[in-house]
Amino acid sequence: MLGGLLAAAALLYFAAAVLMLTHLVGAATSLAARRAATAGLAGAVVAHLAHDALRWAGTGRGPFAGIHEGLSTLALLVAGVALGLRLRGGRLETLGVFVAPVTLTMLLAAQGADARPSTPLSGALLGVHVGSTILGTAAFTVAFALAAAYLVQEREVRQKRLRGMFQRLPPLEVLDVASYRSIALGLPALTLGIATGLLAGVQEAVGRGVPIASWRHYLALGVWAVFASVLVLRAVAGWRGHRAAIGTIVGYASAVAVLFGYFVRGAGR
Amino acid sequence: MTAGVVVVGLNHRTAPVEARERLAVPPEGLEDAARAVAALEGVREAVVLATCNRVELYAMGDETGAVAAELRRHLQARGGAGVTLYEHRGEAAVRHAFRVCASLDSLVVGEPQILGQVKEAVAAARAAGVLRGGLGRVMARAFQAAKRVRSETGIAEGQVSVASVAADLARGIFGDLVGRKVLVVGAGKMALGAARTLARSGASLLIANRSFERAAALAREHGATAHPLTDLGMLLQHVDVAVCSTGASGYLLTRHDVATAMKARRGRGLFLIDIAVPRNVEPAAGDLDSVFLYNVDDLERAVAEGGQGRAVAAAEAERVIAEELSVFRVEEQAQRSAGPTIVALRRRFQEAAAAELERSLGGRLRHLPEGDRAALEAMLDALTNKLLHAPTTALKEAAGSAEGDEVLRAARSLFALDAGPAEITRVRAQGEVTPQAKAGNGR
Repeated sequence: MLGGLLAAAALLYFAAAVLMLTHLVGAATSLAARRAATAGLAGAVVAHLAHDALRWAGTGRGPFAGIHEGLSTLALLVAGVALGLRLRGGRLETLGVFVAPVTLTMLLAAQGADARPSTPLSGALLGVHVGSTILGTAAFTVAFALAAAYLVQEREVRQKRLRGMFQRLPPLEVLDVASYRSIALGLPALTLGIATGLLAGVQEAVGRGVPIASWRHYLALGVWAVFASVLVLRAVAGWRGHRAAIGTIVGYASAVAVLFGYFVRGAGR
Repeated sequence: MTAGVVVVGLNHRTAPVEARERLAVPPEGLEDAARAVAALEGVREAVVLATCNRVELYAMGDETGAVAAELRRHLQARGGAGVTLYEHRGEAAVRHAFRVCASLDSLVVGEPQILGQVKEAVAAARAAGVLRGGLGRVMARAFQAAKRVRSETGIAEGQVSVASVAADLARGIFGDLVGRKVLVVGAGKMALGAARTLARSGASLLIANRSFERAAALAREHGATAHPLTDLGMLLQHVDVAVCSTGASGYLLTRHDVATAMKARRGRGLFLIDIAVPRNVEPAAGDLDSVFLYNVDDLERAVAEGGQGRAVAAAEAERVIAEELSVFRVEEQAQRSAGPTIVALRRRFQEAAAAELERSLGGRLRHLPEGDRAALEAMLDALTNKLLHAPTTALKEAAGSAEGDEVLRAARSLFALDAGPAEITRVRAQGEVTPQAKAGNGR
């Protein structure tokens, strides 16, 4: 049952991604393709939600219990945002194109992640650590999608192609400001996630006599520094638009690298 | 008549804006430009049409090949070296003029500005005294064809304009335009049109012009604020969109100017619309971060893409042009066949009037002072013209109809226009005898 739901969610995410892409880059706006994409995404979210709920009921491990559950929750959260934007209508709905492949990757990656808790944290503190990290990463995923859409839209404007994608993607400044806000929302959450992660490091170091910070902590701090720089440079040096979008994408790539680290090195140090 | 018409030029299809701006003629220079073309060897009449999209020299002369070569040399000497020029002669040139006026040759088929621009070019040529009969008739008929095209076809319906594309672009960059600031630099109609469209979406207008008085007048008219052009650098730091359309011959805004403004803007996006030819904004400014620069070609290409659905209307318009051309052909034919008769009739009347005047002033009226003699002469001229007006019009009209030949023959016979010198002498003698005889009888 769980396997079936997972396969259905993955297939529907894939189909929705293809349909949304077709709708975005197609020469003519097809209402049918647009509706099918939204229906596909909605189906994927429902299957995904059902899968996670059944797993919770079966294993007793909640959405923030560990990296396995956390990643799946993250994917669901981001897909939920994309679905909300599509149901609301307007040009921001096109963000789904950038979000759906990421969601699919996260969902599949979650299956490979170690189901055991990756930190010595437990109880509420583990929930806060995983929950805030996931919220921060979800916000960064949205910021990444907005930044990617910004670069595509900017290219359309600069190359003077004012039909098709230009008319379907949101205005540049809307993308820029929304990306900034997503980072501003995600950074405090990630700060909390890193702080609780470091606390776990301290607990472990005290208990086992190992260094407080692991390579994952350093990478996480690197991600934090990149996103913090995007915000600071925007305020101080007027880094907006193109530069901010590049910074956001670099920051997100490093966040993905941290997550990837979990699979390369497992839950250990 | 159409045989002598020649047009040589370049347009948006044959030359990029970089080439067109080298040959641009400001509106106030059209008269001199037409005079210069008319002074070329073999050219009798001339019109210079210079818009953002085209520079065309229309001329009338006997040797169209030689005239075309002269026009080419003239354009090449003025900065058109290395530019591909097109050329039409005879009826092809007339057809081209018709299509240009009807905006069928425009990048944005159906755009309304071109007709006004041709009218200005024709007015300038008339003012310069280099547009009289033949070419003037071509242009008058071209205006008529253009009016028919606009009223009888759907070519202007659902028109996507440069202004609406500029507004779409501004929305694509900024989203909501409420509270945005739009600066108009110069006083071009197209720039003001684009700015007004943006203002209707909630943006506020600022107008900067070399003449502050003009800026102030336009600002009053459009509910904008007026600024001197010297404030341009400062204004650029605060506005979101700048529409430039001044007649400046060099760059009004260099890359450095824009880069300086962008530093002060702290990265806020700036949309520059440069619809001037020659261009007002250095193209390299468009490479700067968060600066989006569109010139007249970019905008019009976008407009043209938006108007591809008007192909059916354009086909109808081509049919109207073909009809107008054949009407014009018939008229010209009539003009040619009625011409000698009208000229002979006029000469006959003028000679009779002159002879009578001379006789009277040498006889009974010899006491008249100089001023009265001139007045009498003017009165006779006016009378001749008045008497000739109706038959001249009738002859022109008849020449184009089925019974044209009969009417022309009747006129020549009634007024003895085909009479040889001997007969004319006889007629004159009769004319001279009769009054003398009357005078004799009266004594």
